[in-house]
Amino acid sequence: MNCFFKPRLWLIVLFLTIFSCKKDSSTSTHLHTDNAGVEIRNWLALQKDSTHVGELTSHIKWAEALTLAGDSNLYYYAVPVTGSDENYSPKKICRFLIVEAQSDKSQGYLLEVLASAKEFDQHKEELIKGFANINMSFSYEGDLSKFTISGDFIESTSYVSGKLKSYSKIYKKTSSAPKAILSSGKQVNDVCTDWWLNVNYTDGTATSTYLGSTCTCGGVIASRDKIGILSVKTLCGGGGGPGSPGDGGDSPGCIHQGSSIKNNKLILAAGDPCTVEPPKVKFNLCNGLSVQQIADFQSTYNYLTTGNCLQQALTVKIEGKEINVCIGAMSDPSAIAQSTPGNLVWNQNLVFYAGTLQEELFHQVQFDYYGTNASHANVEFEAALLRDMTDHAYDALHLASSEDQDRYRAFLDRITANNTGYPKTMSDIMPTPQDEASYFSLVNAYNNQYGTGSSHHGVVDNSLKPTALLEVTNLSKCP
Amino acid sequence: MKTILTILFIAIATTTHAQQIYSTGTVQGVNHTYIVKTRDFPSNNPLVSIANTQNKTSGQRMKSNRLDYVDPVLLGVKINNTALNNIFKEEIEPSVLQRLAANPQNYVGLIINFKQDGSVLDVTFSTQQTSTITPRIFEKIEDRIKSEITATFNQDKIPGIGAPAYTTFNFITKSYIIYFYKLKQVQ
Ligand SMILES: [Zn+2]
Repeated sequence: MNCFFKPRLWLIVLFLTIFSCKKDSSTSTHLHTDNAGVEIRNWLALQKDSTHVGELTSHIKWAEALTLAGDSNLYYYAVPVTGSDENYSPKKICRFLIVEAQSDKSQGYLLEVLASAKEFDQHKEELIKGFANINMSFSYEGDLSKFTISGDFIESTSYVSGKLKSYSKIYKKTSSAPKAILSSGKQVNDVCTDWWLNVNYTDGTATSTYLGSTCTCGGVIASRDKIGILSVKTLCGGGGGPGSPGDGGDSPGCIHQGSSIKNNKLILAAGDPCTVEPPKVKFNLCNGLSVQQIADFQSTYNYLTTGNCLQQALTVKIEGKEINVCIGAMSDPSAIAQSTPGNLVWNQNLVFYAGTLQEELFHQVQFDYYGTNASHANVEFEAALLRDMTDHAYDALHLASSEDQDRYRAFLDRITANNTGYPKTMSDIMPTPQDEASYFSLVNAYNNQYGTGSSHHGVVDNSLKPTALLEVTNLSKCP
Repeated sequence: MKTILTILFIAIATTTHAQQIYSTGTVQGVNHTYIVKTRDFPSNNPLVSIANTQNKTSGQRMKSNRLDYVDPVLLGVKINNTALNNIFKEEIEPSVLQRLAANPQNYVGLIINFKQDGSVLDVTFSTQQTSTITPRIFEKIEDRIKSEITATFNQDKIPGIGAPAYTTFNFITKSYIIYFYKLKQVQ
């Protein structure tokens, strides 16, 4: 028996209550064409989820389809989706099916707009196109939420006084085969997915909320409690089963309890009462990060937390830290990022690269051990070494002579036993005085590959050994 | 001094029945001449570098006309590792490969310099001074790398320059290594 407890169940309440929106009474100048209806129908015809497409289609007000132009040949084809009212007085929720099309690419989603009748009537177009806007042109108070046509939550933004207040997205973590105890007392191996809602606020705070877990365990629905111990709530089977509306907590189908309420609005109904666990590293995201940048940062950091043993060890090493993450201009426009203790400034024109984020977070560890006045050459070489160890690459001396590159390869392969292990003590890196000298000659070669004006050039410190690197390898579960 | 070293290496190599000994100087392939330079490292198993005399970038370093520093991720050099490994597997005869694989220390290091269109400009090999891979084999490998391997680069535009990082460099380097015992494992 298949009894996945799908995240979409959390949204059943939302999905069932489809709303009617007051007919647009504004005199705005959007393009009324038949094209929007055609584009949306074409997109729907390509969707595989025929059940939801059918249900959705019966609620679409085709007569009100509209086309809105965005930037760079982006078009929003939008059509209201109606149903029973949802009352969040003085706010209401209006839903649209939107297909965004740019050249030959298109993507569709349901957009929920939480707004007052007045806000909605006067600024419908801006709200439809405005997801992820940092500033609205009016004093908007409300939420914009995207869902898949199957009702799965994608992401949402929240606005206060017309300014972006927060960005929310759900992340999942799959855990490896914990033991579940069935009501019969029998233990089974189980695979669970933990669902978290991360909310990043533009005022610099962030929360990560555990929503619940979905587990598969031989016909049993299980959910995990907040301390990570599995307990089986009920047997799966009979009744409506997964995906059927209104299971609630009583039916023998899937458990459906707990919720997260924000701004009077049910965001999610989760499989387990929500339990807030503060994030282990507090990233204060500066004003001015776009929603895309927040999401990019979050997913890149999550990638490191679940990456290989060195990446994971680094994220453990920085636990308890508070780091401001901002976007800005670099003194060197081609630099990807700049770090000072507790601060990370990312080049406003570049995406969050995992390798570079790893390096910048490692600089935070280095600050703890060396302070802020340590030789750039030494700390940057050490950081490049950690990246090469992580990526099984030999990039640190990529601009150096072929002899220096050969020397670096031989050194890296010696300290990692040809990439099968990592040094844990200083004598693993420099067992003899000759090895010590050769380490510093590599720092020199690293330094000399860059021009004297470069941010990575400095005066080599022949006494600064790579202590911070060992702090990370020692925390790791790596061999 | 070099002569003494060479004699010493010959002596060592002879006692370990190595078939080929590389020392400073030149060696001949079929169509090309190769410059051999000895390295004094690693101390227990020193290397030589082997480079075609026709290499256009010999003695040159990778350099940008716009950037003082570049994060490797912005170059983003990617090659097909499997294709490169296969060239070695196919060009080195099985008995030689087997003997090389018996010692985990045996490897060939490669520095491949690419043109901006992704094609190979030059290849420099490095390997143990006692390596049993002949210059003719290196020549065949080099020819195949030049005709079969191409690189791709990160196309993200560098702020303030408005072009991808790799376009500002004279050539783009990839450092790569082939361990024979690992080649064997994936056979
Ligand atoms: Zn750095």
